[in-house]
Amino acid sequence: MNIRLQELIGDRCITAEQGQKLLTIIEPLLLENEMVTVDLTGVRTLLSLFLNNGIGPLFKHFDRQQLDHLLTFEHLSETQKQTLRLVLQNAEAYHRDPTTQKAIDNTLSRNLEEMD
Amino acid sequence: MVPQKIIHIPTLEDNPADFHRLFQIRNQIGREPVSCRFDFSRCRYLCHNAVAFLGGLARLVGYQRGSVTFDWNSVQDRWLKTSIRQNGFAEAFGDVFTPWDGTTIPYREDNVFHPNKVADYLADHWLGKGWIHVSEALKDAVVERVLELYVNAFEHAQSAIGIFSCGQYFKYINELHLTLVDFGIGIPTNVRGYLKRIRPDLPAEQLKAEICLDWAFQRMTTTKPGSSSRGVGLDLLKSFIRINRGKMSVYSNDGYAEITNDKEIFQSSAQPFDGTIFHIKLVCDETFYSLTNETEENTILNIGRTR
Repeated sequence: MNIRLQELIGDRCITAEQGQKLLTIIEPLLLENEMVTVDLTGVRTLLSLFLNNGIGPLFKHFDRQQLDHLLTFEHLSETQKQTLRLVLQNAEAYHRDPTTQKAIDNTLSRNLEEMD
Repeated sequence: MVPQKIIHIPTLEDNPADFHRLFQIRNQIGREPVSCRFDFSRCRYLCHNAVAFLGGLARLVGYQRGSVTFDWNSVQDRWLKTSIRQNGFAEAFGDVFTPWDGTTIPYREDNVFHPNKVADYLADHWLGKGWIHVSEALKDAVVERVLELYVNAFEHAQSAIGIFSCGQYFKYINELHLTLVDFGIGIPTNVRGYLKRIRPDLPAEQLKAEICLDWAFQRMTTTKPGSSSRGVGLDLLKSFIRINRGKMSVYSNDGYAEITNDKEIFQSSAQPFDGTIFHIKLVCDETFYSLTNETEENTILNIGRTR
């Protein structure tokens, strides 16, 4: 299925609510093993908050290889590619590796523990 | 009846000492209901930082059930009078003059986040005045990055009165500036609160501000359990500032951060402030707007096919 983001959301994809709208459409399709293409033609603004909510939660169900196979993004600008890659990288670490959060939190608590 | 305090607004530029003077004014007003009059007779210049800060402060006093009167008749300096009328600051606080187009960038208040309006502000008023000769696509790309800052502020600041911003184009140094101010919880307080929740056995309040800021500005960190956002927006903005050879300064609670193309500084601030200020400077030279860092691009995991 091909989803034109500009038609679904508009030319500015910014908010968490907008991202959740995309997620409610693509999540069931991907769970049915359907190939999905998200076309960003005409999208002027693509923010990490939108992608964190629209794409990030997919890692609850899929690993990187599965998403790579099922989900394609078309017609992104260079900055939009950069945003997407970073969001995917972070979401994968967050959802697929339970040690990530602990390791990051430890960097904070270590500062105090070292003071003792 | 609440007695009226007269606050003499000094000349305020964008040096650290000027920010500290603003924080002193905030502390001078206090946290109880108070009636204030801002007197500008000693002010010869009001940088956009001060405009955003004083506007927010006036709204904060109102939120604290006090009031601020801006004594526009006390403005002596003609250039100052012109700039605060031009950028709409004077009109927002009772002056009769309507703002007009110029090298100032309008003063803006956002009680709630209207992303399209903020994006239009950045595109049309901040970038769109021809300071930088860039394509529409590149303009959109810059707006994308700077808008991350607004999203971050609305996501994390917990500001009861919203976000206040103002900008300025400095022709003689060819720089474009933007300042965002909130009077919310502040980054170090937020980080200390998070540590307190996950490690109640540790004295989180002793965590130094510079450690909190350093942590908050690293990718993959978040104070929101259950969120996968993990600092992506700030990280993208940091990368952009570096590529542009710009500068981002952050004052938050008792901490100060400075990000440039070759260094990141995190330190304690001598004058604490309840809230956060983001101040960004961009170089208005097209050659510094190549937004893709090739080295970084090649090291990013290849997840999700893009065409």
